[in-house]
Amino acid sequence: MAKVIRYMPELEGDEQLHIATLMTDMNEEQAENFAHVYRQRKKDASIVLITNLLVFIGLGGLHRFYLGQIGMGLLYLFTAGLCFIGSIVDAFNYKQLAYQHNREQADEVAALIYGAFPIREAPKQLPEDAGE
Amino acid sequence: MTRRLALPVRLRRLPWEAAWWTVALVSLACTDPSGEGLLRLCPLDWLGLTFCPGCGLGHGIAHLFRGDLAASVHAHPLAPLAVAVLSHRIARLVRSAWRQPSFSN
Repeated sequence: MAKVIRYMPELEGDEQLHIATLMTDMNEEQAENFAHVYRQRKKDASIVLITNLLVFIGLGGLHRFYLGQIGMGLLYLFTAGLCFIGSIVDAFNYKQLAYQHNREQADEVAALIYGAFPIREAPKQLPEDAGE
Repeated sequence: MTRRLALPVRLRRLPWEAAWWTVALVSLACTDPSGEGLLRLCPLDWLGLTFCPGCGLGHGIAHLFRGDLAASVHAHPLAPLAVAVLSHRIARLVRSAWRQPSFSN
């Protein structure tokens, strides 16, 4: 939990807990890079809500496009948000929609970070590190 | 390495959205497409509007569950797409909820 507060102090709730779990085994370099990449990828719940509400001017499903769900976006767009029912449900559920997307992204970024920044057993002895 | 989760944990983790789409699809599958319209459920109908680009989608999905593709497309051209997209979404939500993140250095 200490690492998530140091590197991503803006998180709260379930998202904070999930990121804290992912960060438990990371070292400082990994945690810093994880926070950097995850911030680029995470989607903002309030933008999900705002784009969802554009259904009232005839543009349904933009929030689904924003979250990368192209099929759902097209379906909402051509059916006025499933006759408004889908859009109204999503207006209540927007935080969960964003969190669900962000959690998948966080898992992906964590896997990426562990691959890109492996913890070195004996840092000084690797010759390719000397040039840095 | 992925650990298997106990069934109660799996059920508790199921996202609300997956349950909602499942209930929607199952209840549409149980309706009789040749019966009355589903307009009583429609918020646009409550507002007194008579046109909606989604009109017929419920009928279309109900026809599809009875294997009548032609009637389904006739009721709403996007009905098969709707079933496909929603099933895909449910599968993805369930898979993502049950996956245990397991990373190690």
